Amino acid sequence: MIRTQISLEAQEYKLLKREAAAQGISIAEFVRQAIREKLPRAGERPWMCYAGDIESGNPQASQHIDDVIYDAWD
Amino acid sequence: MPGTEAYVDTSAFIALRDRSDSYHALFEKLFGNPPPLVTSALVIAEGHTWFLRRYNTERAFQFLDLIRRLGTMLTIQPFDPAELHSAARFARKFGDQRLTLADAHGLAIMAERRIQACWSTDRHLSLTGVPLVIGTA
Repeated sequence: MIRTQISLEAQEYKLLKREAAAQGISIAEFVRQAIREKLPRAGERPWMCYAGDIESGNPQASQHIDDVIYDAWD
Repeated sequence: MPGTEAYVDTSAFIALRDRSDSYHALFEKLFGNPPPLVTSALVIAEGHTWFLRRYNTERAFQFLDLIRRLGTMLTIQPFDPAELHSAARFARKFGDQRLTLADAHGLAIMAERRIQACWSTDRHLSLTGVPLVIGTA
């Protein structure tokens, strides 16, 4: 393992400590798990981590993009 | 690589990310094993603006990261004066359709590179006869 140092906001550290304790794991293990979730898995297309990461509830979201970008026009 | 490339429009990126979109499953499958992809620099600007206005800066940055992660799989055609001239030609040709410049540039790119597959949910991108993947899947 490589030892490294990171800086966190006080509030982030507080939440991290609480969540790790709730799961019964160390802060270091919590951070390692979070990093493993974020990094692309070996052999996986790295851009696919964004596939389905949004749930708008709108089945036509991609069909009316001009309304959002250029404001609604007729 | 004329003939084997696919052109990617803003709407394809949105459908990929939004699991509620009716074309999400299709684009998830396509992006999972893509051919060489081509898009316009204007599509990148549109996509960033869309996620920024519809959601927030975080989602807009994630869109840019998605583009970065595509790496060499995606060729981004710059928008220089020559491209402006080509795009304007298509915008004028289909003036009654009120094409955005991004759409017009997409039509110009597909014509120039002889691209025969268009990843889009926007019917404007099929004006020159290139089939939309949503109609052929």
